Amino acid sequence: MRKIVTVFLIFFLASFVLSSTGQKEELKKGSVSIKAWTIGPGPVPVLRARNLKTAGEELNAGGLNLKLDVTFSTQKFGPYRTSFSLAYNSNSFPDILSEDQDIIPEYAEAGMILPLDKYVKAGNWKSNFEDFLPGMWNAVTWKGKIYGIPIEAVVNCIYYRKDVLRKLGMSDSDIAKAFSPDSGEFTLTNLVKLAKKAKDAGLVEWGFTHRKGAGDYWFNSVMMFGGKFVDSATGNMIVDTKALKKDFAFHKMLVDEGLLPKDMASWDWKVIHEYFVDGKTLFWIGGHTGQWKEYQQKAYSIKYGKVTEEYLEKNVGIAPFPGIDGPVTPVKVHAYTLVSKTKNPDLAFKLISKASSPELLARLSITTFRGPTRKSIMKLKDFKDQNYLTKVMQIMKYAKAFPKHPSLGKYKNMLFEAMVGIETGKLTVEQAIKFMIAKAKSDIPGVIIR
Amino acid sequence: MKRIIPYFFILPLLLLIFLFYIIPAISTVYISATDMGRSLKGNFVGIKNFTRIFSVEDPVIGRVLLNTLVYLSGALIITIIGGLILAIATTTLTNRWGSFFRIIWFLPRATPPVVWAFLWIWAFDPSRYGLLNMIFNQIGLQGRSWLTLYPMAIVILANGILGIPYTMTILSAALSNIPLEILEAAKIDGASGWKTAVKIKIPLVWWPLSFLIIWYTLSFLTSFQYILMITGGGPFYASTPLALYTYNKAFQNMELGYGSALALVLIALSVVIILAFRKLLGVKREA
Repeated sequence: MRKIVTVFLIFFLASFVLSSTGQKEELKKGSVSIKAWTIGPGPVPVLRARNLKTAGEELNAGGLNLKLDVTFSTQKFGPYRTSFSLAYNSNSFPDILSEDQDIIPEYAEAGMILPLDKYVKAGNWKSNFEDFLPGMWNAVTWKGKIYGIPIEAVVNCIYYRKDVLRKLGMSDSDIAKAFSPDSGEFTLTNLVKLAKKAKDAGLVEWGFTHRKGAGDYWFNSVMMFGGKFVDSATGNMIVDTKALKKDFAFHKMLVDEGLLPKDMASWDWKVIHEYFVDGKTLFWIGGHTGQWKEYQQKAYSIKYGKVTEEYLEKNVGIAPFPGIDGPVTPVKVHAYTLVSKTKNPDLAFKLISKASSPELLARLSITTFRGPTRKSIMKLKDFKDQNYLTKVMQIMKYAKAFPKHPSLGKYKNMLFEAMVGIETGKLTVEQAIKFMIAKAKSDIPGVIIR
Repeated sequence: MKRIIPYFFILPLLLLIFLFYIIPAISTVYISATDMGRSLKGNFVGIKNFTRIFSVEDPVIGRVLLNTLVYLSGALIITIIGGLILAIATTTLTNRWGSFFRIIWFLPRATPPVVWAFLWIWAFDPSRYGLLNMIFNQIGLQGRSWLTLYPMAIVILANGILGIPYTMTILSAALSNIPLEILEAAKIDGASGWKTAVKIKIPLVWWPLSFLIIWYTLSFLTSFQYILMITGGGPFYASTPLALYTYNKAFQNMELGYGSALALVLIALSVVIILAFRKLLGVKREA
């Protein structure tokens, strides 16, 4: 027993001494450690991480001595954010964190991320600052301070099946006109009519499908009905009962007409995508432009497995949401932020600044088919060569800022529950509105009911 | 020295209990009196989180408490009655066949939780790929949205069935210890199988049966992982018991203060139910 304890102690001490020696060796070289975390589905976080690595290599080639430790995560945002909270409080925090704009107010209020104004508004960064597309800086601003560099735009949109519409007797020019945001024909009423026709003709099983779980779609549909989320005067959240009523009534009508499955919220993701890629759904309204790439990378289709760009070009189209006040493209920004506890904010900013160069961001856009955040990206040949991204840019003309507030997550969850109640027939529209008011009053401080 | 050695061996365990039970328990009480959120920093709010619960300001609380009672009752009945029936049945068989069926019935317990949950999800999947819908389609019936129509029944079944193997094993062992002469005497007196079970076997295994009832009451009150995986607590809170609601509040909404208050209410509820059961079941320490 004594021998075992002695061996264990020697082993423990030896590892301690060796690791301290390693650290000393590192310090001797004068290198600075920068730790970064990135998040996203599929290849997205890898690229967000790779851009940071490339930037680090470029800075090191320029004479710096950065030791970069980048971790990408394909977890869902919930566990990723819990990990960050724990890491932040246990001093194992990263210096750089990639995050969606919707969490920025919460982190900013808690003082967990740094305002970047002194960097991005500095004279030597002016040309970069002005290169970002309108609305991008606003997306990462909370209470007048900028908290991140926007690296990509998640462009929410409607996907439709051209092949099904052709079978309904529409020519390609009819389809183009019907989905042209500027034509008077692009209305929600017309989409519902088309879905009914396609369903009655037995061309599709469902007219519409949306996402499962609480997510961006629930905001998109409220935005489609002109809903507001945050009161600009007080900064408090709003429960916009007028828009919610329309939104709930719309989803109820879709279920009642047999155009949307009543159990949509419990469908498996694979089945949701399979139904659209195989043409069993006319409109996939729960997604974003990046799924065009996803359909080519994952074998969702039972008929074709992974589908090709040509197949999608021929059979599928994208459009903004036909809002009641005109077309709406809800755009959510993803950004690199700096963690407030970082010991090297200047170097960390240098790194995210470099990783946000037009060339590296173009690489991100081209690979993920998410929208660009900088004007100069659109001038690059590689970007211009992508036909699909041109279409993405067209629907980005109708971009509407995604809401931001520290209580947005709670609002999203209650909105999702209410909508599930509506779709499954457990709630009437009136009951759902009552639930939203009572739950918001209980969960969201200072909420305004309108 | 000899006197110290036992404490030396106990110390690591005490340390672990202190670290992973006492400290978290005290922390939960403290956090429940704050508005702690994602930053893990909170301001003192006194009993505000509790008033939010007891004044039913949160519109879901009533529904969640009712769900908790329905879920607990349903799952407990399946686990205890199912386990008891199987224990009696397998102990009346020959040793070989009794063991064989016990092994078969133990398989759910040996299945990893995620696999078990996925089996249920697959069985009740609303699409044509769901097992039940496949069978329905084969016999010419229309598939159903099982998880939407019967969420509470499904989570009760999934959890209740999972409790059967353990109950069966414990009760089988207890039943095997009943002296044979008692059972033979009953037989000679003309007692039927039913009467023997009700009047002799169950009273003789009352202590382990009571233990299992209390054990599973605690287990069903506090566990939620299968519900989370199978229905997510929906649709519209239809299958959300207090434990899952607590988890969602604390870790999905990151309302750690309110979540801790809910956790303390859950603990209080567990204590009340356990004390009631002790009284009802007549569980007393033998002198």
